[in-house]
Amino acid sequence: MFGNMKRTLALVLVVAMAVTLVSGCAPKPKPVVALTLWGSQDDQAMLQTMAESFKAAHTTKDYTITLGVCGEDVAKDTVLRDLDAAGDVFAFASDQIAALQGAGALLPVTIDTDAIKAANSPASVTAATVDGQLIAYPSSADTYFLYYDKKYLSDAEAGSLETIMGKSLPTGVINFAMNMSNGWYIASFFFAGGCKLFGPSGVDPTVCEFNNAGGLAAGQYMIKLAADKKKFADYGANYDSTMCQNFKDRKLVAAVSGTWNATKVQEALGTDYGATKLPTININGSDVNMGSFANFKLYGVNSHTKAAEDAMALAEWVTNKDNQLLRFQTRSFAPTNVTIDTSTLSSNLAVAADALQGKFATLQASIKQMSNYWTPAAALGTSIGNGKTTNATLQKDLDAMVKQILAALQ
Amino acid sequence: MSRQPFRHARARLVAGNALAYVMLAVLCVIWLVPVAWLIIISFSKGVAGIPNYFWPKYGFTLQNYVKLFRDSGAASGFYFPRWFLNTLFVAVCSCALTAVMTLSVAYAVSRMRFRLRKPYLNVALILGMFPGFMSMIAVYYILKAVGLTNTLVALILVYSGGAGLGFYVAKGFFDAIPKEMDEAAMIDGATRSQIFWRITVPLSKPVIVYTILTSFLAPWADFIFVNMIMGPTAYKNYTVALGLFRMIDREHITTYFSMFCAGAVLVSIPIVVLFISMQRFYVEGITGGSVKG
Amino acid sequence: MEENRIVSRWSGLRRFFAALSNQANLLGRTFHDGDGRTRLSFVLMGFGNLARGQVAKGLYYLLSEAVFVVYMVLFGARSLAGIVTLGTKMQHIEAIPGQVPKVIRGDNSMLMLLYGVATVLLVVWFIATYFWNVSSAMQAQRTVEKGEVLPGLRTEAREYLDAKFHVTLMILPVAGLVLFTVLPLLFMILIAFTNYDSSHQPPGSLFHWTGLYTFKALFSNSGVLGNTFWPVLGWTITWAVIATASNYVLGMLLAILINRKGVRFKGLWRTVFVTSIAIPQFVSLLLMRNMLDDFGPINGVLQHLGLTSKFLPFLTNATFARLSVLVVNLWVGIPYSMLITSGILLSIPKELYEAAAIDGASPFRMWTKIILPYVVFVTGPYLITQFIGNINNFNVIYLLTGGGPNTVTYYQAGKTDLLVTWLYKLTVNTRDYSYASAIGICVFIISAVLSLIAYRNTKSYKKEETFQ
Repeated sequence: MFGNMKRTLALVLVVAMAVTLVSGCAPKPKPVVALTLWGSQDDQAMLQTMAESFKAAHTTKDYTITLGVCGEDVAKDTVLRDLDAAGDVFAFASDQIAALQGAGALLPVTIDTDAIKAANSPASVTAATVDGQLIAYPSSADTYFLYYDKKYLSDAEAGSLETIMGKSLPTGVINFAMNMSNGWYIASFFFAGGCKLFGPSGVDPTVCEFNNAGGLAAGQYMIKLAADKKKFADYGANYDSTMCQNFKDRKLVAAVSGTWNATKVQEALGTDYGATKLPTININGSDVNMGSFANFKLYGVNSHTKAAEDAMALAEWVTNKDNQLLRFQTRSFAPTNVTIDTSTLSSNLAVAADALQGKFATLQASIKQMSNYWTPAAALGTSIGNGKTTNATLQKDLDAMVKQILAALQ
Repeated sequence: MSRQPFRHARARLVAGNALAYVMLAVLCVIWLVPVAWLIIISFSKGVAGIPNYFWPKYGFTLQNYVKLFRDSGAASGFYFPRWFLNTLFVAVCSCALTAVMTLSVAYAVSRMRFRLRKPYLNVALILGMFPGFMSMIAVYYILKAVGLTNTLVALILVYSGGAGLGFYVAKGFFDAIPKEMDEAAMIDGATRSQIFWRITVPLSKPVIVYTILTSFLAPWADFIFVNMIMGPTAYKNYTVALGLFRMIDREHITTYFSMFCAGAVLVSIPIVVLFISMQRFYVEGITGGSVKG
Repeated sequence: MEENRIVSRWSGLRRFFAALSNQANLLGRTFHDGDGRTRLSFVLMGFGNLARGQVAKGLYYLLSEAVFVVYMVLFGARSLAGIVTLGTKMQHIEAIPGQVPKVIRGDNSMLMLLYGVATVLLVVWFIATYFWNVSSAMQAQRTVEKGEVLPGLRTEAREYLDAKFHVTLMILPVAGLVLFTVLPLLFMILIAFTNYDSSHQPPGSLFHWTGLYTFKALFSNSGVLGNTFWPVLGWTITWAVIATASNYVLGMLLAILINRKGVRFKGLWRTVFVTSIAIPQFVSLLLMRNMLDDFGPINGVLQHLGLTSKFLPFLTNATFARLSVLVVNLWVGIPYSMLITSGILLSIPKELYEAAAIDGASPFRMWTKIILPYVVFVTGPYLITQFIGNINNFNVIYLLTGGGPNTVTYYQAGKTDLLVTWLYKLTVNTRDYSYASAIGICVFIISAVLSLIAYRNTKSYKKEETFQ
């Protein structure tokens, strides 16, 4: 009884001493830093984990990290509306880098630059670089590849679009689906045709090769493909959801999409789930692999941040090796970090396919003209899809599209 | 024609009525199909993305409604109950403010004569013709200058800020109230203010209801200004319109379409009830009181 | 008629300048006639009132002056200069490897323009206050000279509930209007005369005054913008005419159907249609968009029933899409016009029907000769508002097709885009504010011209004239 009491007393004393030490004689309090981190809706839980680990690893300062919901695809619009109110660190898709840079929104990456460049894939570093200066932190790679239903298609057959389209199937089952009325996907055919979007250098805003002979061949291929309404489908504005639905109903053999649909497609197909690089197509008598656009998810630091050093540290933290791995595990995003063991990645079919397709991917140009591309390219895809663009009008429409892409208002 | 036998005319009337009923029934079906689909999908199980069917394939469920409330929070990023209350709050405040201001302006320009009256009428007409959202970005920075971005107060101000322009209907109504009543009251020593509150306002029920109704509906439908004012961190301050809009983003539609439908049904119910019960005033209001609905 | 109107416009302008010179004259006369205290009010605002015991009033003027002077010194003068230059200093970022980059903030052209416009409005308000101050001082002097008692605060305050009640009534709405409509609009109109487009984005770069360049580019026949502007304008007008007329006529027919003698449950029928108004448009229209999708339920059912072998491109083919938006607009709009015309139909004087019946008119003749003219006469202003509303009908187009299907011949626009939806896309997607603003001005001019022509011929406007 007494012993117990003694012990309690001793404990109380120790605690009291500790409290005095901490509160009274403690050294000056830790500096308080408030940071805002913006990412897409689906990333919120993951970003919360990363923010917590950042705080745990950086104990010299007292960090409060507020999350904000801002999809990578619209980051530019939200950030540029009011830079002073934007997140200190925000995620964005690499095609917006030129616009963000032009508006002076991004802080250059001047700390650990060489380490970041070395750790991430060269393509992702190029995508995060404008005028020779790294201005964003690469986090994941995004391109599109082929999902297929193994019930209908063997792995070998998935290698060629002609084979896929040649399969005879029960009525109502679509051989191949692709969102051709979207500028991101339609480029696939042009790249296969050997065209460059912005000249040989890839960043020349005055040259677009999509209307040359290769572009014409690509266009003709698309016209033929789109006309086959029984075998080909473009699910249009609701592509992702309709594709998943049709995979689930087993009414679709193969479709082009990206890692963000991996979980849903896998759920829909179960053991028949397959994913690989895009197939080859036969253009001008030779089999070439379909190209694709490489998009990178990047993290940028707001140039108007009040705590530049901390924001840079946070951006580097959320894109470091461990967190790229976490992103891969929780969201199936393909890391850009090259030091991650490839065998880890190959366990995820979609990410492996994404990496495989990466060899045929073209970088989205880091010039402002890039933002002019999407609408006219989508317009051409729509026009081909609904049969308005025919072989007779193709050249004219291609020329018009190129004119819109290269249009400089001032 | 007018001399046709009575029985013949009656037969024609019956046939005509039958035709009218058939047409009305067909039209009603057309008008109700989207509404019905909305309700059906909101109770459907296993909807992934946009269904290509009218009748649910996988049976009915209440889960979509339950999830709206149960899954509200940081994990899903959707705060439906909160958004609903936000919208209600904004709608009530802004409709009260709008009604007071609209009636004030209408009374002033209808009943009183002052130097700037005519210029004001002209300027108001002109201002009303510019597309409203053209100047959104400036509105944002003005709100920011007074520190109101990301707040519901900002929404109330924006929705009622244009009240000075929407006075035409109420003015028409006031114009129709006989001036003699005012004059009689003035002889009795009443001030303008007393006349406004004690004579004009009580006589203007239809137009007051009309003004309140239209301004009450605005916050439920607007998604442009909310999107402008509420930044990414002010997620909890969204209104239902923007919140529901987010549910059918390309990113979310696959998972959330049936929940969107459920949310839409819940939003529509109070408005439909309100609208139907206030229908009469709406017609009277918009036709300037010259017509009874 | 037409000439009269132009003359009256000119005389309005003349009156304005006459009033200005009048005010200047008044100022001179007051200075001449005023005593020391009144004259001091020219410099020290409110002094005349203060010195004669009108403390509250005097303080108000004095405070206004103080606030204005402090504002101008601290901020206003710079703002006014800013509106001329729109900024000279670019933001600069120093990137030294291994160090945290230094950001040297530059000028923000957009904020400079906005603050400049706000300051101009403040100056206008101050000038008005200044005149009131002078005339108030003179009035006080005159009253005292006449040996009368100056009204105290209480008396003056009561004035604001009676003779000056309009001031009390309008001060808040007008303040709201200035803050949330006038100021932003002036700002936005001025943007049209700058090069605030996607390549001149603050704070990274500055934009400048470019005069009429934006309009030239928009109206040119050769440039990409001109090639988009004219066709989009054409479709906007076509859409507005068809949408207004079809809604109006069909809405009236529906009203006639419901109000037909012998049709029962009128309230019920009406309620069914009204339901569609009450559902928020973004819900019903987004729903329609998904129903009309190439792979949506309507196409699904059509194919299931074997009516079509492949989907109908309701929203992806230009012609289909244009028809779709018109038809869906009927779904949205008919109930409104039904409600309006339904009330009016009931109010048609019985004598009109009886007279027609005696003449032995057929139902069709009755409709064209009596009902239609009467309803059009009564709903004239409503029809104009509807037309302007349709020119600006953002919701139906944006939510249903998003302006699509896009076409390679337009710059950032599609086949169903109206000027307003194109404007919206230019501000939100490409941030070409100057062009968006110029388009907004065009929309305004179209609406203004149309309504001036129509509105001034309507009964209510003419009646308004006789009021004066």
